[in-house]
Amino acid sequence: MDRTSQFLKLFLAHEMEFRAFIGALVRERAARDDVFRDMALALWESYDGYDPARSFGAWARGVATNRILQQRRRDARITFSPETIEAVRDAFDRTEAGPGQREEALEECLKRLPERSAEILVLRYGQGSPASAIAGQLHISADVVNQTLSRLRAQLGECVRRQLISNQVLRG
Amino acid sequence: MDDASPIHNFLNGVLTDDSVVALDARLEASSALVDELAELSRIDVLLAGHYGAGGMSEENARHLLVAKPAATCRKWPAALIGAAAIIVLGSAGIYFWPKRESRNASTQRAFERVDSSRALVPPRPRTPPDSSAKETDRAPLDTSDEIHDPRLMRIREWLANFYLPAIDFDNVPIGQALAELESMLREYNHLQRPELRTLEVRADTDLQSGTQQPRIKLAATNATFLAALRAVAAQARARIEWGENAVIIASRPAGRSRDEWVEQSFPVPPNFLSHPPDATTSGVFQTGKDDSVRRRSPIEVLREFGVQFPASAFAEFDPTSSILNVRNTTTNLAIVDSLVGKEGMLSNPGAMIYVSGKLFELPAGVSPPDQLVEEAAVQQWLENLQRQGGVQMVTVPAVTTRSGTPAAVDVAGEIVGTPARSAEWQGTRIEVLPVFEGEAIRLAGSIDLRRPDNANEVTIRDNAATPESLATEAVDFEAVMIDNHSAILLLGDAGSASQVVAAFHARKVSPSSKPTERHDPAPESNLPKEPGKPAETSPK
Repeated sequence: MDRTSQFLKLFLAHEMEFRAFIGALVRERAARDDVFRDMALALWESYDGYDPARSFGAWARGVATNRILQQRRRDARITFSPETIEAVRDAFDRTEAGPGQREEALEECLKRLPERSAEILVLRYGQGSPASAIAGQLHISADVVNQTLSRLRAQLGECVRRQLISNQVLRG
Repeated sequence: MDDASPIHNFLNGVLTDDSVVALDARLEASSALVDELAELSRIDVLLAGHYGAGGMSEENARHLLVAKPAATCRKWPAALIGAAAIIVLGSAGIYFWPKRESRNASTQRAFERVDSSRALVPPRPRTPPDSSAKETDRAPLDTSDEIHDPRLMRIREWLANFYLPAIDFDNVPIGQALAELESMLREYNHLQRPELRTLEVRADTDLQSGTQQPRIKLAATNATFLAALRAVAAQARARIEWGENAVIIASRPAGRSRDEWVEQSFPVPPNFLSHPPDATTSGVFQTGKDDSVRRRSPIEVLREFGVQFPASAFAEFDPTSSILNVRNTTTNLAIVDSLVGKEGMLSNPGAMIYVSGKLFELPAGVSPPDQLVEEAAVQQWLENLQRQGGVQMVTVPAVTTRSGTPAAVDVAGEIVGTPARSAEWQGTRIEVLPVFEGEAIRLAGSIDLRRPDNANEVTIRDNAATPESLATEAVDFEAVMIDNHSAILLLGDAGSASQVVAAFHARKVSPSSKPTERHDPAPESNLPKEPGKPAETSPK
């Protein structure tokens, strides 16, 4: 496997985790894609320094954190302090699961969702509709939509946590 | 709500600057809260992956590595973003559902679609009119919305070429109208432009929360997003404010509230009174005509777009000079100006859609390209096959039609044969219905391959075949197509050891394009001539 393919394989295996890391640091949803692309290129440029004995995820977050800290002075999209940025990096390092494990756990959790809840998630995440549009479609207020989305995210987060523990026990 | 509420707002992108500072302080103080942020951000991303496009393909990721942004520019080059968007669409935006079934059922469905030519447009409930709506007493309109920031100019340019299949606001509050426009922006963002995925479309607080919220009355098909925005702004006697993250219909400062009566002339397109424009189709495909379209008076047309005609107001249209003469209040004239002025809903005679199809036979063992490929790649692929003597062109129909107007063609009595096997009769009927959707075109249709039940019963006379009976086989298809790409449809075994493949290409052309003009590199010059007699059109 050539060097580019090796990098891509690792990068794609950690893509969701990397996006989540950026999502936790950048407030504007539109800006997250831009930062993600910038960071992907930064990782590729630094790939020579990657030690395969280390976790790729942790190394990638390290590179991205350094780049974000450099950038935050001139980039208003990155709003948190250096201390918080480092703390977020630590949190991701501490709680990283194996590739695909969270996806698998989430799939299980989504099966248990009521139809109405799933409908809101499809509108929000599948179609990218803003709360106001979902509200119009479902004849509820935008506040209710936002509250429902927050509640669903929290419930799913909790469910994924439990599911990860349960799966870990089953796998011994 | 709970402690995590600011985190949810942060992830939703709606946390204010002050609240971000407060959240930052709390995160510094609480590692549990940081863990919560990490976990919820993961859920947010995983949900987007689960319900949305999923993870990135290796090809897309590879694109991220080849181009480097300029040192002073943190945005990626537009060309690269475009390339990535096209690839994403290639994997997620196109969908086919070819179905083999009897001709009757298939054709019935195709005709049901064709007969109600708006059937492809997702049904949008018409909002009932509000009887309490009254004419507002706002200042006359200044429709200028000039911008100079290149980023905003780019967004504006996209919206000027972003088509909405149908708009139907029947005296609805402006907030509701703009929410619906925003929803359509998401729905038809087939190029997956990140900026349009999140661009807010709303009214400012004054308009939205005033006691007399402006009402919007607007019914149109195939209007551009920008034209719709201008019409909404004009009806609200407001202006458009452009931002990177939001387009806002903003109220004007009070002060010029005095309305005057004025008579004004506007140059308009010759088909001004035919809105929706005449449904004409031409080319090798059959010409269709929508009988429901009739000529209306200028007042009828303008009322449909929210212009009011109080007593002593009038509108006249001179078809010889294409001049619209209107006497009305300055407020209402400003609305007329937004409609018939540059980029207005009624100023454009309407773009057409050019659809071309290539039907060809492939020998067994040769696979067609993927479902959505660049037109040039299809042409190259066909040329290569032709050089190897491995492709047989069946027919190359083409048509120029209006968005939402169906077209059909019968390619009758073809004799398709190769030196390797005997001649066979083969007929094909193709029906297409293209509709503008955002910056793409949704193309639906059906292809019906007709072969004789028994080849022995075919009589060939004067190079035409007359089978005694036909075995028919129909395939429906639907695809969202982006510029310069062809949709490939495998029709399966057409008899003997070969497959029939259709490659469709659709794109926007100006109304002045000659209907029968070939816009693509002529395949006839590079591919075998059609055997038998050429494709014929037949009346429906």
